[in-house]
This record gives sequence, structure tokens and C-alpha cells, in this order.
Amino acid sequence: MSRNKAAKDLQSKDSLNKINFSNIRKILSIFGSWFGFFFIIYVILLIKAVTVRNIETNLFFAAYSIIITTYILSRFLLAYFHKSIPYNKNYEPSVTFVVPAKNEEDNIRETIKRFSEVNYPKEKIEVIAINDGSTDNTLVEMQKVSQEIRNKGIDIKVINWEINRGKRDGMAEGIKRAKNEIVIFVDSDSFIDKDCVIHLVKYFSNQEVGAVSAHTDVFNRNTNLLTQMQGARYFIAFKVYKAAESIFGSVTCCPGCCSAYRRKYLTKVVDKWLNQKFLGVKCTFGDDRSLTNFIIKKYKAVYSPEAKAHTVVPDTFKKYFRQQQRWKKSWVRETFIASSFMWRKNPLAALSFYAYVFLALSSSIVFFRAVIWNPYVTRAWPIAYFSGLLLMLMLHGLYYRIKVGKRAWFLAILSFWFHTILLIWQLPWAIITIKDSRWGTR
Amino acid sequence: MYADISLNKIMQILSLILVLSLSVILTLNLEIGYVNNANLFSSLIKNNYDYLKYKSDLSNGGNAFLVTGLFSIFKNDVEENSPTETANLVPILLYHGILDKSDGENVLLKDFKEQMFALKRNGWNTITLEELHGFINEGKKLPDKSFLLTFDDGRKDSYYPVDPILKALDYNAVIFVITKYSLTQSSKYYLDKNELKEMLKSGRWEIQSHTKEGHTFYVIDKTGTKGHFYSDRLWLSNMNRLENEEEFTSRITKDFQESKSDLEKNLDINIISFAYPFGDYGQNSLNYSNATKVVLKTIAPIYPMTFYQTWGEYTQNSPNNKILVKRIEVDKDWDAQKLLEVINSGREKDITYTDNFEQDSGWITRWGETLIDDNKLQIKSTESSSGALVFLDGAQHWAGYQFNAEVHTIKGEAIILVANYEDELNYDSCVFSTKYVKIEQTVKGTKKTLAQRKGDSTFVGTTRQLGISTKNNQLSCYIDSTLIVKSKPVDTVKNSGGIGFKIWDPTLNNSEIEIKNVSVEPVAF
Repeated sequence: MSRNKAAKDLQSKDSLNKINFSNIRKILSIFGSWFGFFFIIYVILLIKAVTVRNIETNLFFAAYSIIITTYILSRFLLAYFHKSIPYNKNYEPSVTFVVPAKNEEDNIRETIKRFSEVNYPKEKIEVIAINDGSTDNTLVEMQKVSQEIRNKGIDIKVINWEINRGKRDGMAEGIKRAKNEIVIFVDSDSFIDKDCVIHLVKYFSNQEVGAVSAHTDVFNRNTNLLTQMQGARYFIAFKVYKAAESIFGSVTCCPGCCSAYRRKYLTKVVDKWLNQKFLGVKCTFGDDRSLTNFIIKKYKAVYSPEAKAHTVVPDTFKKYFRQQQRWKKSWVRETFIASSFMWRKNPLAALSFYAYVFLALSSSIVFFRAVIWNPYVTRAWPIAYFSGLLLMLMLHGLYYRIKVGKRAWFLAILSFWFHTILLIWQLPWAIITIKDSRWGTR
Repeated sequence: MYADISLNKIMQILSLILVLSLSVILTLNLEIGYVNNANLFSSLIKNNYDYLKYKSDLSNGGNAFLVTGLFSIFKNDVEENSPTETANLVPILLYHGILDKSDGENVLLKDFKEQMFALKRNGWNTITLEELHGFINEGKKLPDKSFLLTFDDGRKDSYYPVDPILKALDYNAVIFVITKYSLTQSSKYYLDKNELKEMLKSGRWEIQSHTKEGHTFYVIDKTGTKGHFYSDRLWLSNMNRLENEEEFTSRITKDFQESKSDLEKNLDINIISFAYPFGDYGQNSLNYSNATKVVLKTIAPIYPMTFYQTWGEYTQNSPNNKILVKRIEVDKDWDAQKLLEVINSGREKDITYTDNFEQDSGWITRWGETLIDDNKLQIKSTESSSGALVFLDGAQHWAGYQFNAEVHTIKGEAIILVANYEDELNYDSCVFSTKYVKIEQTVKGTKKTLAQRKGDSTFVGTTRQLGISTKNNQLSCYIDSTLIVKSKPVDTVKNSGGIGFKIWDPTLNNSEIEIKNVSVEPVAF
């Protein structure tokens, strides 16, 4: 008996030790990552300090180097200060989910099904699903799932267009038909979490807020290195960059994967937005950034880190490449438009915005000088440029590793580094071909 | 504003900013000089890393690196046998590039590191050019075991691998740059202007002239033979003739002056020395016998010190060396031990001297062939020489002595004992041959017989005790301790210099002797 007890004691002690040990390891690894994170900042600052000393040698490039460092480090700093607001039970506006879909037979069912599973009063939920001329079984899937969730007491409409009209028309149709206060756009390949809605709507208690972006992670992150890379990239883009913008309520893009808008404000701009033209050409893509632009001109757009959604990202290089080219083009167009009013926003937000525009436009010039011109003249490899870029990305990678735990962050960052270099020409190319609206639909 | 601007967060960020900026400021103060535009990132990291590594190697023989390296920044714990005496002779080392992988010519980094560490551990320390100038020209004292470290050509690989070692050992160095390459263009091979400026800022490097145009080969006759810029008259192909003395002088003057003024203007420094490309100050001229005289006369008003590398000469510098400064060119095959031997054997030797050739104490062959083996010094002529000359390094200051040697003659007509040896053009000697024994003085290459006696001894096949004495400004020759011939006291007899042996025979490759014992004793004036 006593021996049994002793053995038990020993056992529990043992397991206690085990727990302690794994905890210690965890703490050590987090500590190590933070140390690495700040060590990289230290190295970057060191390099920049030297750059400042030699600033007279080349003003433009030294300025670029200083601005980009300040910009990136300030994003982390601002993100650290970002605070979300608590959920208020007394404020529960009715919501309408709008899901335009084309050829999404694999995902549409899950996308819509999740609307019925959210922690929100069912009677306050409306769903508008638009089948935009799919050539596969999307409509059938939609009808099946609509029956399912209708049984759960959710009001769902399926709109069927025989001929494809485009995502923007689908979204506009949703806005026009929606009856509820808040419109939540969800891409047909994105899936929301149960608490997504409450964390999206809580911001609308402030009448200034016109749009709220959810936090979107990559659903198919484990498919291959490309999707792992995008996993890291999405995480950082939301957790750091959108959080930083959100402090001042000037999130420049509430992405289509999952974002909520106040219908009252949408209806004012929906026609203008639907018929948006740029340089005489009808805009067919970048609907999300464009819609955010219409809203933040007058109202605030914020980011809600607790409202979680998951989206499917391109898993082949070709798809990724096309998506990036589309994004770059819409970035150019919408940034040009936003430049006309961003100066009226909070000075820090405005400064960040224009600094980023400067950096993005200069990046290809700097790349050309560092990777093509200098090596041609001095016959030396552009080691400083590539390692500097990698260092910056490592900073993001370590942050990702710290926040999400064990993942293939290093390879993801290496791959991002590789893709950045590979696709650096996309932005200048996008500027040159801005009027060409092909690749507009997916 | 969707922000949490609590005091807590602000304090956290402020302390982080404080720590980070302090670290950056400290690091930059520690080593701001390393960074140059070209390879900023890698050189900053690598040099500091190497510095810590060397520092730790120095303090504990090289095991627990980094931690000890970090701590050893703050203390100076090298075991130095700081010499209390003053130096009589100063060795100067010459390197070019320091390489990771051998190119068959330059010294490897691992050897260089070991050599510098060995010098440091044996109490050697570097001096500056100004200190050398003070020693040679102004009679200033230097601590014993002082040496000057020099690099020729101004290569990048003279700087980057070397600098952390200098820093760790608290050494400094002189680099002689080719202004045509280093000041006017940037290349992968030569240091550029920005790098030179960083080197100067570090305080570890002095930059001096190694020519502007003179580091390439030039055509010196109509068949296209290539020669040296400073020692040969160049072929003027448009006029189908060699340049004359005036043209030669004005050409080299221009280059001496321009390389100096270019450096002074660009780097805001004082140029007081020049290193001859290929170590040639005219002595290797192919077509101009007057070159040495003209070069030395031309360069003297421009540079107070000019450097060359010795070959078959005394290896270290004394206040007697005026404009020409000797350097030891470190061979790629020398390890640290060998370098120490070379330096030690060139140090000033005590005048009470015996040598039984158990090892080489610094016998330098000027011509012919010598070998120290089996407790013997073998001296012989070669297929292209009628004789041989060998002398003892570090003996250039000896004065008033009796020099005896046990000489076994194998073949050859004359065996010559050399005393008061300065160089091959200035020395005294006793010439022993079967026909005569004579006292011969060589001054600036001209031989003069001071005294002579008909000979009656045989040497070939025998072992004899031969001797020469420089007592009382008189030269005397001895065979087996018997005085054979003695000169009159002459004012012009040099009163100091080292010892050596010379052999001679009218036929090529036909003289050979073996020395078993050597002894030198001072004799009173």
C-alpha cells in the first residue's frame, strides 16, 4: 500500500517534472526567438547608423534605406500599441452575409454552412448567395446548403445568374438586396469562425466606423511551401500592418475574404463603385481595396484581430503569380486615388501612407541599382542588398514564429524572400500596363 | 484611436529603445572604422567576429571562444616579456596579400596569424614609420624587439584579413599603395580611397607610396624586352631610341613626386617613405649601369626613407642605413617558428662568438652555394660561379676582433677570411693561397692589396686554423696561430663590420671548403 503510494508519488513527481521541462523549453524557445528578433533589429540599426554617416554619398538611396527601416520598425511598434475593443452584448445589429461565387463547388458549401454556426442570434442573420454564371456544380451545392441552413432558421436567398457578370456586380447586387444593418462580404473560398461576427460588429457601435476587416489566416497552409509562405505573409500583413493602420482607423484595404461594412454607407457609394472607371477603363478587379477606398474617404476602417476567418490561397506558382499581378494593379490604381485624400487623415497615418507609396515606387529602382547596375560596374555580388532584404524578412519571420508557435517559418521566409526578388518587376509592370484589364476575373 | 497607450507599454518600449540604441552606439564606438561602402554588412560582422576570436586565442590558446573574447576586450592580459633594453637593429617585415587559399606566392592567413601571435608572445611589438625614422636618422632609441610591419601593393586582402589581428594584438602596419590603382578607380583587388580613409581612421594603418605608374613592365629595347620603370631606360619607339639620362631622371622624378602629392592631397596625410616596386632601386637594371646612383640621388630630396627587400645582405636596419631601408620578405613556406629564427638570427650578436654549426645562426650567402649540416658549414662555387661569399648576419657592428676558423679545403685556389664586412663592395680580407698570403681591402668595389707575403703552405686536402685580426686599425693574417702577414696601421681601414668567408678559383665550379669551428674574440685597441 505504502509502496504503491510511493510509486504514485514518484509518478506524479515525474509527470510534474515533464511538464516543467516542456514548459521551460517552450519559454526558452520563445525567449530565444524574441532575442533573435531584437538582435536583428540591433543589426539593422547598426547598418542604418553607418548608412547615415555615409548619407552624403548618395542621398536618394540612403534616404530610401532609412525610410524603409523606419517604416517597418514603426509598423511593429504601432502594432504593439494596437488595442481592440470589448464585445458589447447590448449592441447586436442585424447582419447580411454576401457571397458571390463562380465555380466554387468544392468550397461554397462549407463557406455558407459556417454562417449558420456562428454565435449570433439566428433571426439577425441574412445570407445572400450569388451564383455568378458558374459552369460547375456551384448552384447545386448552394441550393443544398441553403436548404440545410434554412432549416436552422436562417434567412437565405440564392440568386442565380446564368451568365457571368463579375464579382463586383455580385457584391453590388448583395448590397442592394441586403435588408440588414451590416453587410459582411465573405469570399466563396473563405471560412469564418464562430465568434467572427460578434467581433466584427462590435466596432460599428461607433458611427464613424464604416468598415471592419476580419483577421484572415491561410486555410490550405500545409499544402506546400508556397502556401506556407503565404500563411506567414497573411499573418504578418494582418497582425502587424493592418493593426498598425487600424490604430488611426485608416485600414487601406478590408480584404474580400471577410470584411464587414455598414449598409447605410455602402448604399451611398454602391453605384459609383460599381461603375468605377480609371483612365477611361472600367475597373474589373481589386473590388475590396476599391470599396474600402470609397468608405475611408469619409469614415473609418478598422481591423478586428479577434474576428477570425480562413481562406484558400493559390497553391501553384502560376495562380500565385496572376493573383499578385492583379493585386499590384489594383494597388497602383487605388493608391493613386487614395493619395488624393489620405492627407486629411491623422497625420501619422497620412505620413505612413505616403512613405509607403514612396517606398513601393522606389523599390524597383533600388533593386535595379543594387542588383543590376552596381554588380555590372563593380563586378561584385549584391550581397548587402540580398542579405539586408533577408534580414528584414527574418524579422517578420521571427515575429510569426513567436506568435503562432512551431511552424516552418524559416523556409516560408526564405521562400518569400525568393518570391520578392523574383516578382520585384511586377509593380513597374503593373504601372506600365495599368490600362490593360485582362486577368480581371479569376 | 484604437490604441492602448498605457504607461506600462510606453515604459517597455522606451527601455527597449534605450537598450537598442545604447548597444548600437557602443558597437559603433568599438569599431566604426571597419565599415566601408562596398561590403558593409559582411565586413562589420566578420571583422568583429574575427577580432573576438583572435583576442580569445591570444588569452587562452584558443578554446572557449567568444565569451573569453568578449571579456578580454576589457583587459589586456597578454603575457608580454616587455624588453627593458633598447634596440640596436630593427627588422622590417614585408608581406603582400594574406590569403585563405594558397596561390603559390602569398602567405596564408593561418601562417600569418601564427607568425604575428608568435612575435607578440615573444615580446615583439610594432613601431610606426615616424619611430623608425627617428631611429635611423635622428639617433632616437627604440625598445628592444621593435619591428615594422609592411604590406606592398595596397591590396584588399592585405587589409581585411589582417586588421582584426592587428587590433587584437595592438599592432599597427604600413601599407604601400599604387596610387594609379587605389586613388583613381575602384576595383575588387586594390583598396579604394574610401577604404584607405577608413584604415587611417582606425589608427592602425599608415599609408605610403609604392609608385603611381611604376608597377608594370615597360619595353626597354627595340626587340620588346620588358624592364622596370625605375631602373631601366625605356625604349622610345616613336623616336627609335632609348631615353637619355635626362629623360630618365625627369620621368622617375615625376612619378616619385606625383605618387606622393596624390596621396597627400587625397588622404590629407604626410608621405615620408617609398617602397620600390619589385624592390628594385636600380640594382637590377638591365640596360642602365648608372641607375642606382641616379635613382638614389633623385629620390633622396623627396622621400627620407625608401624601402626594398634584401637578398644576401644584412637583414635588419641600424642607424647606419640612411636612405635605403632593408626589409625581410616573408616567404610563403615559412611557419611562425621559421620567421622567429630568421628574425633572431639577424639580431645583433655578441662579439665574443663561437659557432660549431649545430644550427644556422644566420649565415647569409651572397653568391655561391652553402649548406649547414653535420656540424659543418660547406661552401662551394656553382656551375656559373668561380667562387662563393657567405657572411654572418647580426655582426655588422663588431669592431676590433680576432676571427679564427678551422677550414678544411677540398678544392680551389684561394680561401679568403673576411672581416669588417659591410656589403660585397666594402670589406677587409686575408687571402690565403698556395702562392701567397695577402691583406686585401675592398672599398666601393675596388680592391687594394695592403700587404703580401709569398706563400709556402698547401691548403687543398688539409685542415688549417686560419685567422684574421683587426686590432689597432691593423689587419693581420694567421695560419695555425702563427702571424703570417700584417698591414701598417692605416687611417682608411674601416673600423667595424662582420665576418665571412670567400672562396675563389679561376675555373668555374672548382672551389669548395668546409668550416668546422668559428671563434671571435674582441681585442683591445
